[in-house]
Amino acid sequence: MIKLKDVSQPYFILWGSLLLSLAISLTDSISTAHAEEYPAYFSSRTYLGFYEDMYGNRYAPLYEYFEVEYNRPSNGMKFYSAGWLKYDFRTSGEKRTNSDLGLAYVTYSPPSDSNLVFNAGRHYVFEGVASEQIDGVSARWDFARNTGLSLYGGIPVETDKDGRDSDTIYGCRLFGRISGKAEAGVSFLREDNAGIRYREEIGLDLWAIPFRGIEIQGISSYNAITGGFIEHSYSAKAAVSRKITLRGFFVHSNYRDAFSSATLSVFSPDNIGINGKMTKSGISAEYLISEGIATTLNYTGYTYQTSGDARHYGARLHYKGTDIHAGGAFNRMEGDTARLRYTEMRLYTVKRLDKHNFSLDFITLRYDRPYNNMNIAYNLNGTAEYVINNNLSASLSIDKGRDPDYNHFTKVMLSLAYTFKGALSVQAGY
Amino acid sequence: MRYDEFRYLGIFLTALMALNHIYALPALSEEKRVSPNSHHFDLIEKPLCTECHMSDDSADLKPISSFNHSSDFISSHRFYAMQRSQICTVCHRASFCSDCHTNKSGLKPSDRYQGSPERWLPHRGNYLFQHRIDGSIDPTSCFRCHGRRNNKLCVKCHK
Ligand code: HEC
Ligand code: HEC
Ligand code: HEC
Ligand code: HEC
Ligand code: HEC
Repeated sequence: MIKLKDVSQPYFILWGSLLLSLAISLTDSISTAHAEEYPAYFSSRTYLGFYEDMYGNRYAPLYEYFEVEYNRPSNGMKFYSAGWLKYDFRTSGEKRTNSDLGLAYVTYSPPSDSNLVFNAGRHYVFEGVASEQIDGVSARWDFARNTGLSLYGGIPVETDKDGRDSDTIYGCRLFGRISGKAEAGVSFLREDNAGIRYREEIGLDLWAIPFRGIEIQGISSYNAITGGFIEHSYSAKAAVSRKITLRGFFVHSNYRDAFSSATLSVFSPDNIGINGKMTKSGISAEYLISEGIATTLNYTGYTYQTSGDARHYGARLHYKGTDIHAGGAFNRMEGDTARLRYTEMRLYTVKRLDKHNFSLDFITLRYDRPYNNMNIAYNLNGTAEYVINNNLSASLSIDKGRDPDYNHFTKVMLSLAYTFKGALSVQAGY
Repeated sequence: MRYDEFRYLGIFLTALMALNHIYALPALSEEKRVSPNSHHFDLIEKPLCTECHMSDDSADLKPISSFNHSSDFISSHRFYAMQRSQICTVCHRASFCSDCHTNKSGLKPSDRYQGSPERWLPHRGNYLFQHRIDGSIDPTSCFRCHGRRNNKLCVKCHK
């Protein structure tokens, strides 16, 4: 846990500033006190699965996923929370129960100015280099027509494993833009784990439409601890015609700088190779054959510093009708090593009727070199859903398949989904 | 002092709030801006924004067509989200993102949404075998979701 003496003062200020903002927004609403409708949302999804792992242990986990949302549009407040609980009815030696409260936060955006957004609690921050789950506060303010600033700070959730003592995260993003043409942002992130500098990243993100029909976007991120670039990732999209869209992309990453803060041994420099560098680039073309039918051709090339290269290419087809979806994909991986040579195929369909939905999904892989004397792996899923009423539906899903680890496996999943969307009528005022 | 930065951050945020209440910035609100939950209806399939919005509309100073959820939107959504994730909250609740971007995951997304094969979801089917190959091809892509988080399951084999 956090030591109170360490953090009480700054946290007092942080939470104080939030309370202040809440107080201000409440006074807004008291002056207009009347019976009000507060849009509310609740959803619950319950799953019961049955499966066996490759050592023959059986499991029967029950999961409950919930979401709660409550809005006060008149003063720009929203409360949101989501999480899950697990109970395993049948397990060998593993923990029976588990849970995660992934999100629980308040958002405030003054009705007079939606260009200011303020969040507090456990929430996500997506800002340039940051894609973080934090316990803390964040704010974004577009203080002028074409520029703005985001700030966030708190305790990172990803470092919970080894305790939260002296864990901190903070950062910012400053951006400027040219209306309808370009946006560029600089972002900074600093994360300390147990008082030690754990991550320090700087990013430059870009978006631009240099010519009509051409859109470019990307990010370069820099690891200030190792002193090297984590990745350069850019993509360009060109609308050749109403029917044809081309997309090209380029990603270059340095393993030493990208994986310096890994908590999983497989990403450690000893395992993955400290001098590893990967460049991935490719192109895809989407062609709308006719109303609802689209096909995509794609090619990706991988080149490495320390091992053989690989190429991946294939095609996808997707059909969307009024109550039906169907599609398929065919892909080939062609690498310099035998392990990287295989063919992948997928076929799927969904039929949505009034009360019933059905879907089938078949995926198969053919390895050029067999593993455990097996070179064809597949997975077939069939799902049937019954819509009981507007709020409630139940489904049964069965997976069957095999791969070089399993000669045969079956997995069954039952689920029940409930959603409530309505308004809570509350008499506001005194 | 290690927590000094927080104090400044707190002061700064408070000042921001105060300033904003003084100047409600009426001029800014003229531009069509995004407020949470402004799509008062549910879309159930990947939307092409331009099917409903006029082509010269803009959201967040980007042409609305940029946000079209075309077949490879999955590989570009990150660029829009990192510049302004508020536009996503017009339609998506945060748990939509945490299905895939999570610190601690219960079920695989493809086990939760088995009835929607038309959706792009990470590693469908039984992935334990194929992951060895995919993981060596592009470990950077795995690192985003498993490098520092959501890797309790992996530790069983990758000590
Ligand atoms: C099915 C038709 C439909 C589709 C598809 C659609 N929209 Fe909308 N959108 C609307 C309507 C209708 C409104 C007006 C809602 C209102 O005022 O209650 C709206 C409003 C908005 C607003 C303005 C909100 C505000 O606060 O003024 C934004 C921004 C927006 N849409 C973005 C998008 C984006 C981005 C997409 C694609 C990812 C999209 N929309 C797809 C119908 C649609
Ligand atoms: C107008 C509403 C709307 C807006 C705005 C919107 N989305 Fe979506 N998005 C959807 C719907 C509806 C789906 C389909 C969900 C489903 O299949 O269950 C979807 C699907 C997705 C998917 C899955 C794509 C796939 O191939 O299956 C991602 C990722 C996503 N959205 C991210 C974003 C991000 C990031 C933003 C903000 C930049 C955003 N969306 C803005 C409505 C919207
Ligand atoms: C269906 C799974 C899925 C969903 C749902 C999803 N994402 Fe992603 N997200 C991905 C994948 C895959 C990548 C990596 C894309 C790549 O490498 O090109 C990614 C990357 C990102 C990144 C880049 C940083 C990082 O951590 O990888 C951001 C930011 C992001 N997503 C934001 C969002 C937001 C915001 C939402 C909700 C509106 C969302 N995503 C929903 C699958 C998903
Ligand atoms: C059942 C055991 C098992 C589990 C669980 C497991 N892995 Fe693996 N993983 C392996 C094996 C075996 C290899 C192959 C190692 C080799 O070829 O050197 C591998 C290889 C990899 C590689 C490629 C490494 C390289 O050097 O090329 C990555 C990346 C990886 N795993 C990530 C993960 C992640 C992320 C998870 C959890 C989400 C995970 N693994 C869970 C057994 C497992
Ligand atoms: C967009 C986020 C995302 C990306 C990218 C991603 N994963 Fe996962 N992965 C998940 C989630 C969520 C789970 C579910 C975790 C669980 O069941 O506890 C998962 C589960 C797994 C599992 C367990 C699968 C099973 O069938 O039980 C393995 C192995 C794995 N991932 C490996 C990888 C590897 C290797 C890569 C890179 C090629 C990768 N993942 C990329 C989100 C992601």
